[in-house]
Amino acid sequence: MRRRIADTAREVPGVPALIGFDEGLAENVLAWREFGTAVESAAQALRTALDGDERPCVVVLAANTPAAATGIAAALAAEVAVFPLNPGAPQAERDALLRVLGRRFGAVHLLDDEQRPHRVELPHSDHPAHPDHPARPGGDVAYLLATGASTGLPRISARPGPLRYDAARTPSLVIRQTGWRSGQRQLIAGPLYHAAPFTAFVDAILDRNTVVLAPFFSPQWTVELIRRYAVEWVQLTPAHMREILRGADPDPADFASLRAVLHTAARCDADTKRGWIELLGPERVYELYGATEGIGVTLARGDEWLARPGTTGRGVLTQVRVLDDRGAPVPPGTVGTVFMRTPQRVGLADYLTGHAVRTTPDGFATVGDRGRLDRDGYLYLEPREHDIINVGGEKVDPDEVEAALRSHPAVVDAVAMALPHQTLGSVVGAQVVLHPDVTVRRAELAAHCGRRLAGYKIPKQFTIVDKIPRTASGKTQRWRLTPDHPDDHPDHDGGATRQ
Amino acid sequence: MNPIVDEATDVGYQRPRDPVELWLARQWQHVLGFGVGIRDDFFGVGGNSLDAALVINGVLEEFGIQLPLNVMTERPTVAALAALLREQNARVTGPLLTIQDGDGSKPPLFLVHPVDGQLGVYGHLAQALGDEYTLHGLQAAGFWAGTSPLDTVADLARAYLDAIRAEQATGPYLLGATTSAAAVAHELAVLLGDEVRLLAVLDDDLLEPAPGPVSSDPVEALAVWRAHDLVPEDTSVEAAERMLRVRQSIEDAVRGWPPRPHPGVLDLFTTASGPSTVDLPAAEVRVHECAPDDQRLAVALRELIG
Repeated sequence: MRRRIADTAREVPGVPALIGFDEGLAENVLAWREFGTAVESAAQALRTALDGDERPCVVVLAANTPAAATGIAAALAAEVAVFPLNPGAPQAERDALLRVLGRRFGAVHLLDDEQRPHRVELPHSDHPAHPDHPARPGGDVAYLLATGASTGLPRISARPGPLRYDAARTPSLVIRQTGWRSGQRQLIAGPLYHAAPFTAFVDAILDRNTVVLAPFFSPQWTVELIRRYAVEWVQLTPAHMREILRGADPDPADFASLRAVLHTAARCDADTKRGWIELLGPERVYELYGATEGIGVTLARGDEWLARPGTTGRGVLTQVRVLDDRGAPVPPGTVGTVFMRTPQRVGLADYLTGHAVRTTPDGFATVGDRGRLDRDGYLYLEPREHDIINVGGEKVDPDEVEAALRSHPAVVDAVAMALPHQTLGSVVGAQVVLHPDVTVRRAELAAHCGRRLAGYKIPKQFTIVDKIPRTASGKTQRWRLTPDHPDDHPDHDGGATRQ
Repeated sequence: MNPIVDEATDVGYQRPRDPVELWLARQWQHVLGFGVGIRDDFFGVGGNSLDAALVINGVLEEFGIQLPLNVMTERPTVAALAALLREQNARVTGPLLTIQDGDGSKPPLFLVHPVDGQLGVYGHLAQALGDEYTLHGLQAAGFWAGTSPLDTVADLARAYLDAIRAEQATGPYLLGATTSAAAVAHELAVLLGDEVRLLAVLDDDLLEPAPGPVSSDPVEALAVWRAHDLVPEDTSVEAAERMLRVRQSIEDAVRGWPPRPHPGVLDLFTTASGPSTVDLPAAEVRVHECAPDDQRLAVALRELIG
């Protein structure tokens, strides 16, 4: 990494490496020459400062700023394990994550804006080391990523290092298939503390690209940045894509420079998907399914998706198997647990937190997602189990309910969740954000859903809210919305609750 | 780009047209959790078989009528089910009928009927205010065979006062009426005195424009009402006759009434073209100018209800 950055700074010194923005949104361009110098001096300083530390790890408050980006690159160049931390994480969550790191690393340092490390004093823990994870034998950690944000349980997975530039593998073959080109201009729209933007950033640095680093997400501004900097490649989340369609009224001409939009993170509703395919043409819209754990990936280009709506594509250098609960393969069309195997796997991505990736003796692994394959090997995912709403034995996919609600002209955003119900166990509830100055009857929202969904999927309760809490990558944290105690929602006459 | 077209556009809110529809719509609201119009499809808005059983049970308790268990599939709208109930002589007598159950967070609003004696137009108000508001209505007597209307403001106010006290024993009270029968609410306010926190008078046109002058001939009147969807399809000429009689007695009562001064504030909601004063004496009259179908009425009223 260090060598690669130095080579790039020497060979293309004048090319922008990083286009960032300050608080006043003034542009801040770092050419490769300057970026290389900044990274090199920070990496050297880091090595000096951490010299003598047993197994150090640095934590970067990963706002999408040039300072944070430089810090991440410097740590990678210095070959010190780096963890990008959500700067907005609540104190309790931050403490929990730092404690996890403290169990694994000899010293945890927080990097400041000048890339200087400050050792974090961690409270003494009752669990000095996880019994399943003794000090790691051999192999260094390049970076660590928090995952599992949608379950509420912080997990950290580790990517073995050190990182090296390899023309055949940087970025991975699957990413190359999404229109990625060495030296491209790319936009990082998501937060650097999330897996997909982070890895896209790391690959961009290794591949001599120009990174446009958006400090926050705004639909109009994203379109403007793509247009202004003639961005060629961008990774977005379905929520980003939805908001751009809704909020920015984009013109195909704005995206003339784009070779590809890659989306990941959550399932994309069909309306949003079609909207983008219409905007860019099917050859420029890619969907990638692959967990942070790196056990394999599937990829679906827009034309494949049009032919098989809802698919997340076929495995790329990945074998996909769907197994039943006893581990036996199920026939095409039958739902089971999705296992994948890939030779590209760079080593076992392990959890620091004791969450296991289930594996089979022949090397297939799963993160627990459910799905089915069609006869041609295209994968269709089921919603994750913890999201499913069980209405008297009927399974309701909240994504489907949300998509129905969002297709109503008055609705900007919606989230569906389970509400406790005396007889049925649970019913569907919805929080809905309306366009400003618009009112809509709840019965009309229900009827609108009723025209698209089976009756038991129609929300029984609608709450109009100003904003849906989402993570920066656009995932809804439904567990934050679902009431913990049924008593919070007294049942009126055994019928629906209301707010 | 990517226009969103609703394949079956919303029929919009359609208010109840008679006391049975009013009662049934509120029963549905109770079961479903949100207000419905009389042509919303029960299952289409998420009602399930358990909910249907609750409606059927409510009908049994209120009217003593045992409906077949599949009745909701056969008659999945308020309008259709109300017709069946009327066939079986279901009667909704008042005077106090709950138009909408709120969530208990807001004090209830007591609304005196307009000049026709019925409460259906307040369905629009309930929709505009939102599900959290409780609206009770005071309905005139005389709509059913063998009953007769009251014909003085004093008698009307006295009957409604008793009904309000039975629902809520002590103040503060929030009262409302439309201009066409505002005298009754005004008299109620005088009787309740300083227990009244709000006396709101709404221009009739703000809730629903009238289809023109009402003929005194029941056949003609019925034809106009039917044409404007103001009465159920099965309304008989005899029923129309009784409706005209109720209207006439309220008009007479209001016309002959000498109002006494109301010691508090009167809030008048009117249109730009409507009257900016009202012939009802109050210590203070505040005029709120609104337009039909805009949010100002609901916004101002929500603020006054608190």
